[in-house]
Amino acid sequence: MQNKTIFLVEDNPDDELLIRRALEKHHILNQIVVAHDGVEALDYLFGEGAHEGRDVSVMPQVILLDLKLPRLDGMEVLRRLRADERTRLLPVVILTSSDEERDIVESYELGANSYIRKPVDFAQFADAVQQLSLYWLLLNQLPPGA
Amino acid sequence: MQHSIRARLTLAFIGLSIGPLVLVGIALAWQSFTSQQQQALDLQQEVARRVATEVTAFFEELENELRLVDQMQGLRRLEVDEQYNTLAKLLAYQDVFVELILLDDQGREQVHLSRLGLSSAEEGHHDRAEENEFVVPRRNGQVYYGPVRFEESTGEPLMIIAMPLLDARTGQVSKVLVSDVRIKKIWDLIADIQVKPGQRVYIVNTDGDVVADRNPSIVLRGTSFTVPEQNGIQQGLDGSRVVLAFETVRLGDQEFNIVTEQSVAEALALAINTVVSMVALVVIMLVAAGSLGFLIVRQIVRPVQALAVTAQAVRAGDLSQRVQIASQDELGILGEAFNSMTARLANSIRGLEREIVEHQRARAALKQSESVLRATMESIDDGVLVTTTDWKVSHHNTRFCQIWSIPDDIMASGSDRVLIDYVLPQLAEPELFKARIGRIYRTSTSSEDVLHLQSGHILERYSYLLSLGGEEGGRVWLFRDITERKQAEIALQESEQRFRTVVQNAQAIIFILDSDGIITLSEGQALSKIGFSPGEMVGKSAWELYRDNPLIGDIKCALAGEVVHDINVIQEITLDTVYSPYYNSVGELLGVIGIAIDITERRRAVAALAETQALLTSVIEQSPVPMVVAEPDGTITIFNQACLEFLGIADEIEVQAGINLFNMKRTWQDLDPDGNPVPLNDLPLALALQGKFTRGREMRARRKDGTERWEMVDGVPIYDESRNLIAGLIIFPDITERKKAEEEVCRLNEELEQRVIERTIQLEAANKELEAFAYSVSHDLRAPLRSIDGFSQALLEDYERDLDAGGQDYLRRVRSASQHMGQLIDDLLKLSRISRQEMQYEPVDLSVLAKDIADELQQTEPDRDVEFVIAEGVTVRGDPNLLRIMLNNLLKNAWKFTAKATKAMIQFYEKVQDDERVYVVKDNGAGFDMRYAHKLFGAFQRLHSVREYEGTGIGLATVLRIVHRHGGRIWAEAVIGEGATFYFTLG
Repeated sequence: MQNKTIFLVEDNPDDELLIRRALEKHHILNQIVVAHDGVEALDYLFGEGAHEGRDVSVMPQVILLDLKLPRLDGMEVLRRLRADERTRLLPVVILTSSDEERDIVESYELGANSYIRKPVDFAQFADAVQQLSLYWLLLNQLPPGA
Repeated sequence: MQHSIRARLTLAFIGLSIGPLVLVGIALAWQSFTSQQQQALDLQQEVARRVATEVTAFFEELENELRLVDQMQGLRRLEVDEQYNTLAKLLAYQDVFVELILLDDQGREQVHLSRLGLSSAEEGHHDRAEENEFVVPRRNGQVYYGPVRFEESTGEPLMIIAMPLLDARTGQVSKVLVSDVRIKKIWDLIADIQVKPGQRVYIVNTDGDVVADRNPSIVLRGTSFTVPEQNGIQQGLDGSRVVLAFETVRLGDQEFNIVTEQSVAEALALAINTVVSMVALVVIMLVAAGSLGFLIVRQIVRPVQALAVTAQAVRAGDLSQRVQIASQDELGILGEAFNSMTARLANSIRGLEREIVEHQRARAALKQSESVLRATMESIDDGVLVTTTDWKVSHHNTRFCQIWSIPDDIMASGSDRVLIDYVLPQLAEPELFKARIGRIYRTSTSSEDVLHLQSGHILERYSYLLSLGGEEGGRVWLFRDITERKQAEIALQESEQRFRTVVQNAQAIIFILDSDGIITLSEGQALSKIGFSPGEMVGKSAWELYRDNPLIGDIKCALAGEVVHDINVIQEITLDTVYSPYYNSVGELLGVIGIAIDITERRRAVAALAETQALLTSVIEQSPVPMVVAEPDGTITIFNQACLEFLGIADEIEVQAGINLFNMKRTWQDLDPDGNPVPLNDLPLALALQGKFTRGREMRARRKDGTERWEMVDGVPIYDESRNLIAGLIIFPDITERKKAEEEVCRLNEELEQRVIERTIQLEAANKELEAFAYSVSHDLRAPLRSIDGFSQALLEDYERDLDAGGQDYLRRVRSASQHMGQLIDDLLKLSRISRQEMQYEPVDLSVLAKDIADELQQTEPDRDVEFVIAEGVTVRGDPNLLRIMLNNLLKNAWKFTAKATKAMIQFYEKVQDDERVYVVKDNGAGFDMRYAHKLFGAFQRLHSVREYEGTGIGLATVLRIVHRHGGRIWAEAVIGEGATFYFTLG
């Protein structure tokens, strides 16, 4: 279980800290790799830019993707992931403050696997993150070659 | 007569004498004809042979000439020059040669001389080795004759004759002398021959061409002739039947057939003469033998014939005939006996005839007198019946049977009693007549009466006693049908009555004057109008009554035989009168009939009509609305002042006079709304004259000063009572001002639209901005709250021991406040979303929605006991999502505020109030103070403390928005502690 990384794309350090804390609290001890904007996220996943030379055959078990991101927003990141053969089947869970319907609809249309709204009540949020992470880390088998 | 003795004897006689004679004649004629034909043929043969001999001689002479040139002068051994000279000499004295050519043993020309052109020995080296004229003589050493050719220009026959020149020592052909020969010479041979009438001689060559004839044109025409295989009577050169003989002359390969022919008529003239003479002789013999036979036979047969003729006459009744006795032989005795027999027969017949004549005369007289009687009886129109004293019918006529319809079988009974029984039922009063008939028979005087039949016919009966030489001879009955006469009388009476009724009741005055002007009749209802009663004028003189009135003149004209139609005025009454002369059946003038009709009222009506028309015209003329009226041919009858002014032609006087729509001078232009000229035939007035209506058609008129006016034209065809088009009318109010106003409105509308578009764009921009703002709020505003709440939680969890109870309470308050703010933000976003969301209209069942929501509420707090009363079938049209949100808010509100009620009840139903459907949500909860009702639907407005009832104060604001988006209204009524009622409508 430990070798299955969680890839978190989140620009808000408070939220990052709170998510880490929530996962820890629920004993999810997988390695968490964080990217702070859309460009960084893509560089990491495709082994480009600052992450050039990264072994791209190793992919995270699940990606937690915030929508509101500097440089390249979450939707665009998701679109590029789904357009690329290597990342086409990676599980992506959208994390967002918004519960705007159009965001939800668009995320699913672009191929998001789940959608979690970040509530103000952190306890709720922590529960949601835990459940989703468990699902994607434990139950869901990655497609072969991913 | 064919079988008479005479005919048979005559035929036998002729047969015996004529037969042998004819046979001998035919035999003689045949023999003579055959020998004559043979003679003619021999003659032809002879001539042919002679000509053949001469032709042969001609060619032999030519051959000799050619041969001699060599033999005498040794041509083949001479030098070429010498040869040339020698041949030139030959050419000079023998004019039949056209060309002479000497060929060497190879067939080359050594010398060539031609009469037709110059040539020399040197030039003539043509090679003729392949030609027949060389090949043939060279091969067999004999003279060669070429086929006859005809010179193209002259048509004369030419022929090549080639002579081989033999080497005396070797006997070989060393040279060949070729000559082209004009054989026209043979024409002369034929021409010299003495010919008989109808005889001709000609020569035909191998190819069947005629090469010589006494008539050169036959040759020149290129005539062909096929020589028959043998002599005899054949078809000649010109196609007729001829006696023909021919003789063949052979020259080398060529043949000449010398043909002589003579027409059959000429050649056999003698034979034909012989036959004709024989026939004549036979005919003469025939006539002679026939005559002789006839005479002899007649002598024998005549007395027998005479006897036969007389016997036949006697048999036919002619007893005066006697046999002529010409001889005293047996025939004579037979004749005398016959004569005396005939004489006795004649005497007895004469006696008989006299008796018959007497008898016939008496019968004829009787018959005549009876016919006269019958004809007389039949000719009268009365039915006649004559009876004897003992009731027997002796005479009657056809008319009698007709009148009483008596069938033949009744009549045949001959009894008057039977007749009376038969006719009695036809009578109207049969008993009366039956009683009377006995009396009539008994009395001797005449009697008469009138009988009415049931059929309606009326008969006059008359009967009298017949006296024959002083004795009573029976009774005569006469019946006359007087029905028609009676009917005519009645008809006349009725007619007169009818006439009188008509005249008396006529709404006119009817009067009759005699030829002196005296009034004999004056009737009619209108008579009182001129101050008379019917009949009052009768007997008075028209001359005196109306001495000064012009009608006297009319009456005089009518008396002169004229029908006069006039209008007269008598005592202010206008009378339309017709005066007609009337005549008796022989054309004498009896007087005048006058019929006068009161037309005073009609005149008045006509005048009134004219007045109305004038008024109407005046109204149209004065109308401020332009109008034009035209007749079907386009003549304009009304052109009102308003129209003139509208068209700007008020100053044009000529417009007023009878002008025509189709050819009038136009100083203005009729234009359609787009400014295109309207064709004359499409003008509303022209259309009206074609029977078409125009309704509210907008047009423009451009006047001569260039200004334009708008008009709205109505065109109407006008018909009379019998649907004939009598006029067309157009009415065209000036709508220029209205048009301007419309244009202004249009312009304003366009401006407005533009403004709306601009506003819409601005609004859309604002909306977008708002959306972006809302989006940003939902993300950015919540993130810090999340941190505040999250870290407060972390503090509480991780540093619980370092914080005392007060610190922990503060942190909980921080969390609570941040969560509340999160809720506020969410509600605010929802509210804004409701305003932004697009509406989807469809039928929505609010009752079903309300039940769903009630169930959900019940599930959130299963412990609560709330009674929901929801009316069935409340359906509306609206956006289902928004309506669900609205109803959810209202019911949730009610649910919330009935939390403390003892027997909570929430109702949903609809009602009609002021013709409007109003939906109601009612509860029996906490209610509210109506003083603050105006604050109820504002955002974040709360009428209760959070401590009492939690909430953000956004629910009713949302409800209000949704109701407004559906075009409806919402209001509330409440009493504190008793409950609240929310009413809403949905547009």
